[in-house]
Amino acid sequence: MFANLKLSSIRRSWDTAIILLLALVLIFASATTGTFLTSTNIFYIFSNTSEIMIIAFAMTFLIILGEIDLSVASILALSSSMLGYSYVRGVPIWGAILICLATGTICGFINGYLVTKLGLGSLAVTIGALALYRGIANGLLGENTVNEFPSAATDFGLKSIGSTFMPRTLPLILLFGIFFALLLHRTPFGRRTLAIGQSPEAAKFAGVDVVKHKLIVFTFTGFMSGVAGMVYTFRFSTAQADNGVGLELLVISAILLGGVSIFGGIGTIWGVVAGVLLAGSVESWLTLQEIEAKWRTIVTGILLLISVAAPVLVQKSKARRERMALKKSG
Amino acid sequence: MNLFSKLKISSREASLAVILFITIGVTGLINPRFLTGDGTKDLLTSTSVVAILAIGITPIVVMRHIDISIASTVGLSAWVIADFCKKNPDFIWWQCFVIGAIIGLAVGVLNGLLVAGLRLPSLVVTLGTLYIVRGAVYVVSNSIDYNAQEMPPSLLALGQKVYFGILPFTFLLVIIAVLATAFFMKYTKSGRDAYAIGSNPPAADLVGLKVFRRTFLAFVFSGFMAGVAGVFYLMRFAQVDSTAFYGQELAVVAAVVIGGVTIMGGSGTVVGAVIGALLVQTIQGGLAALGVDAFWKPAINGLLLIIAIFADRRIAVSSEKRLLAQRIRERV
Amino acid sequence: MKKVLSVLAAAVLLAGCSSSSDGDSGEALKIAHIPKLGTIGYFQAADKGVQRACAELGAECAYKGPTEITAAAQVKEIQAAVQAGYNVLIVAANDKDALVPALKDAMAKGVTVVTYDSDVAQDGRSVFVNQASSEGIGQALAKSASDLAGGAGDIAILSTTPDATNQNVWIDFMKKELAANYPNIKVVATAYGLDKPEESTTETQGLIQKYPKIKAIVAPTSVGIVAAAKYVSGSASKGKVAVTGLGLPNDMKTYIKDGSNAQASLWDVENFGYVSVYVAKHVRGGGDVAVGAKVPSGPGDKGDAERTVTAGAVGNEIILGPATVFTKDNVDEYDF
Repeated sequence: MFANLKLSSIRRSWDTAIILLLALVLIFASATTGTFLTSTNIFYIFSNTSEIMIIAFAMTFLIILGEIDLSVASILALSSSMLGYSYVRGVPIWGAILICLATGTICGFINGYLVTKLGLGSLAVTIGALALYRGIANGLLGENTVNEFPSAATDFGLKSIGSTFMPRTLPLILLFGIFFALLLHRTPFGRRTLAIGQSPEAAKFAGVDVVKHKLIVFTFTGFMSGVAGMVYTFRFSTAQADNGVGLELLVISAILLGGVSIFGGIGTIWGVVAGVLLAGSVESWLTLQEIEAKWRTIVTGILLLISVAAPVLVQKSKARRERMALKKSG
Repeated sequence: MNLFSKLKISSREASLAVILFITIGVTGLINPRFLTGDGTKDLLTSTSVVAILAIGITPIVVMRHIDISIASTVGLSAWVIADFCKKNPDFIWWQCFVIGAIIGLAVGVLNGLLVAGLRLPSLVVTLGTLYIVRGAVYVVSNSIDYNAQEMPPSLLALGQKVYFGILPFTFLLVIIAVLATAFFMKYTKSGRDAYAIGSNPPAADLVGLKVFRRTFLAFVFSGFMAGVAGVFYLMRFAQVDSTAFYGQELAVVAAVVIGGVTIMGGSGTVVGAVIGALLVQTIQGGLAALGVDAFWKPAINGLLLIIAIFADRRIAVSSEKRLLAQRIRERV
Repeated sequence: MKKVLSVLAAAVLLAGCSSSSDGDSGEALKIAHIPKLGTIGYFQAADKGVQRACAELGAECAYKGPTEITAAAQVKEIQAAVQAGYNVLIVAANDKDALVPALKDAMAKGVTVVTYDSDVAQDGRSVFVNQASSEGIGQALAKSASDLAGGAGDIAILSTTPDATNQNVWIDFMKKELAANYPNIKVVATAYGLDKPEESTTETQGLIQKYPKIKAIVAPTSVGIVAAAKYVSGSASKGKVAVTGLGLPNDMKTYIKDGSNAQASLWDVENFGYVSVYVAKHVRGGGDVAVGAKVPSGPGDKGDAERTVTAGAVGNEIILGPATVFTKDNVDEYDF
């Protein structure tokens, strides 16, 4: 128990470490690459990570709960497809956006229902859902992708605010970030999330409705995947079934990089934001340095390993030092 | 307790086998050619790679861990073997197995040290090694592909070999592996320890089980099987590039989980895992053999996966209840 | 931490070495070659041609292949190439629409964009270098299928993904050609192997089980054709079901020669990359690429020294030339 407490405090300080690491990477990258700290490049980093960030806000809650949703990228694709599908059939763009968000929410709810009410394992069942949702998107659109959207919508996805480094989607993302940060760290809902993650049994005995709580989190993860679907559609100005293929692993890596424990119970929103931006900045820097993509794959893996190994190694060396100190004094 | 868990496990496999036979039966009713010798041979050949990987990760999943780096390991193993064969034209099949095994063992040792040695979460570690090993394939391959004319003929001939008209060589190896592993998991102390560790890791630690050694060896075993799967991959496709088996890790996890191996650890068997792999492949092959509309096929595939998971869960729960009731009656 | 820094530092050193000097007076050509996927032989072969042309021109050329076949990965490469000061992009697009915003942005910044292999919408590039006319590919596929099927019977198609633009166009032309000139050949089904060996094999099995009478499978994809040929060569259908389509001669040699009744066609991939560079140079120098214009295609072009811009399916394009059909009589002459 004691060791556990200590480990968790170190994990918490890992959030700070990751923010420091992000700062270090930013300084190092801008010192070595002239084009790194330009408003264009910052704009690119923000917009290239926007969908990952949006989904990560919600998925953080799921992972803290000790659950996972591998179907988020497929929900993104399905809601994006629904957006395009309804828009070309004459639904006004705001209506199509509502349909897109509703689609995401429904998919999330279905996942939650399968996991909480039917008692199926989330890792397994969301692999099935991953195939199902993208499959529906495939069947729905067939070979017709939709690429005609009102320019106001595509400008929202593509352009920056004035000539600044800020994409027009950034205020929306900030808003969600603040909302989810407050939700996790300042509300009873957030405390319950952490409590369930620490020990579902204890939370249950303390009177938390675990099933309902998880269902809510799955549902809003679906909703956020729908939001990401909308942003993706407008950013690439295309609605199609293979939008965002493979994004789920990037989301999960970014969250884990941000110090959220895969065992549940530990994690912060600012850590996750730092994790997403760290992954995005390192990739951007390596690309600007013209490091080939194949090497970048390896760096991604090493970063992930460091994110889990560093806190443990730090703790081990601390323990060893304490033992040495004890020996000396004794 | 022992009897109870044994019964539960075997009834789970029985339920799966029933689902598998129903699936095969329904497909066969609509398209009888699915059940012919060639159809069965194709099904078994197609399942071999996923099945051998499923056997490999079952002990890990039983111990409440996971290994998603296997698909990358298959790619690395397959590419490096092909590279060796190209450079040594007189290589024969068993040398391919040796190289594949060595590569698999190396990745397995790395995963094992990180997970068991440092006690890091396996999902994150193997997600990391998934990227690193795949990156290694990209780097060493330098975009060079190998094709059938560069593979040892003895290896390809073995890949074509079929016993009794329906049993391909690769699936024969799967059967041998599943029997050996099942025996090990059931009748050796290490095997039983795996279930104990998976049911309650902290308790296993407290009662003095060799958690480090068991976990480490499980990852080494999984790496080894992934290395062997690389040979299977070459035998099946006679072609390899740096993207070989990319992204197939979830298909293996799906097979294992459908096969009744609980992701929360402590229960499930390799026999179930192989049946799960067969079921997944039957669904895919069946949809192809029935000529289902191409655009809707992935959706139907996903839906059937969920239904299979659900059905298995239902049957498992109801048989558990029945057994519990029976035990209570016996007590009274 | 130390480890990552040292890796990063090593990477900086590597990158530092790779930037070379420019040759020409005036504006130096700095070309980024962005294929669909960096890690496969087909695009590596195309890049050989790109590098050969660049060496002739004294241009600086970089191969910027992503490791995933996605539009998102290509967009990042495009953005970075523009930032790094490349003034020419040669792109094989993963998506006809999703790259357009990024490419338009690049063009607005004064970068020349030429697509090859697979096109984007017309306002995302100056000109498209097409491997062969879509009609020509359709005709070649139809002829090969008919030859192998013996002039009559059922055939099936194994494609990549259902929404692959190139393949869908080729298949359409092939069907038209069959209807017009090979009335006894009937296409009974189209399956999709998603350009993965696993799915392609399963779909081939499915086609043969569902339609036991088919005489040929046409796979206009280099992944699908190998998977289909491999499966057929090891099954009871060997010699009964022929395989043809688009494929690399080295990949297909074994099956073309082992009595599986297989053929393959493909254009000269290396020449393809080579010509694309000269076309891009022409565009960069302010040359005309409207329909009907003449474009010098480089001294090493294995076709003509000059190519004419024609009107393609999407817009102006330059057609490289007919595909070569590889049969057991000529396949040994090719090595790529």
